[in-house]
Amino acid sequence: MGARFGTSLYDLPDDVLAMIAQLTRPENRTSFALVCSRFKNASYAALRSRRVWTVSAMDFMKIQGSKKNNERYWQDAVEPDSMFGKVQKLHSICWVEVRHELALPPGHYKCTWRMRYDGVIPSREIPHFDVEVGKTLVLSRPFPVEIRSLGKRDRGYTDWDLGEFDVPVPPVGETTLVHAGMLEFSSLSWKEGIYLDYVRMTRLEPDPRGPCVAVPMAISIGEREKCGLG
Amino acid sequence: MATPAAAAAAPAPQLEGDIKLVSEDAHEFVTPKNVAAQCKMIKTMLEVSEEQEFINLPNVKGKELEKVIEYCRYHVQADKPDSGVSDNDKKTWDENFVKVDKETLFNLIMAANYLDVKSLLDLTCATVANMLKNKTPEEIRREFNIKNDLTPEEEEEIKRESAWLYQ
Repeated sequence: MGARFGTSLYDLPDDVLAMIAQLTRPENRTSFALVCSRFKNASYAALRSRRVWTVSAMDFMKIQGSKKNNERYWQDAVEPDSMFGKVQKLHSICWVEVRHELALPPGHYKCTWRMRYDGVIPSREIPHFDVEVGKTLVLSRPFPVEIRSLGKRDRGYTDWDLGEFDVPVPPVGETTLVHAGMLEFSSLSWKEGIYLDYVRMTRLEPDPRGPCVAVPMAISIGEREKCGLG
Repeated sequence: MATPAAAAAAPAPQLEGDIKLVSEDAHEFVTPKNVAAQCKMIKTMLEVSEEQEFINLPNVKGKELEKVIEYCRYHVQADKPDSGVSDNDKKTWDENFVKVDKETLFNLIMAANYLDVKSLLDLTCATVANMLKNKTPEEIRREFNIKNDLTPEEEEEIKRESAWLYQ
């Protein structure tokens, strides 16, 4: 690089500005991009190189019931083995639905959940983990038997790959929202003992097999299984 | 701020003796080769020719070169497994090291970038990122004397797409 001495933030090379943009706290990134066109370009360059989005379960939206009721159904649990130190523990609930919304740039992604389990869930009411891109369900799989079978024997957390999906290029000026969630509302039996640590979206290299098949949201669990999603 | 100390511990080069580093403004620094080799750019030059007695660094002024050498010298010692220096001590040292005026900090970034000292570049860029914390675009422009050349349409575009930037 042909370095030239500058005495201002503005004089730093583009790749250095992109590094600074990447190191800026998420809540300050928009301010940084809004300073001037060089900073905007640096922010976008940093974004393009980003590959991993990890969301703590503490930030999930728990849909059923009021906030007060949520605290009865879901509890914050301090777990030293978790990535964020605190997790969401499914204390006791009949209908379960948690969800988180992410704005992801176009690309091919892998969705990973980190969790552990030491509770009781009736075998006919296994929650499904899913991913929706826009309003389209692209991934849905039941709470995995390999984690359920560990039960109380192992207090360790497991990274579980839910699957891969595509985020298409949105229309100009729009953003594609991706929802990750867990859902089960087929009966009124009480379920408990799932500890959710995080959901992670990892942007992968372009998928050589082509784009994922999108499945409409209004689809039964049986149909999901027929589609190879169950 | 994340400590880049570990990253500074590049594999110990098999380099013995000293090398004279000459800055843009003709300041000379006789430096152990294993310290100078923490700068990847210098390491490459030393590997090409082990016999050379000095290296001219036309893009680095003496003030910043002295700081870069101070940084490399500290980490060569502190990152040794038997140094007895804790990660916390290194972090504190790094934090004190970058307590400099803005002009020196930006020149240090340029020097770290040119000489290819990744851990120092990480440290100095993280320091700048920390200076931007909780500031509005206008406050950043004022503090760093930057003119806004974005059109209203571009500003709207950034705000619309800010969800990507926020996460």
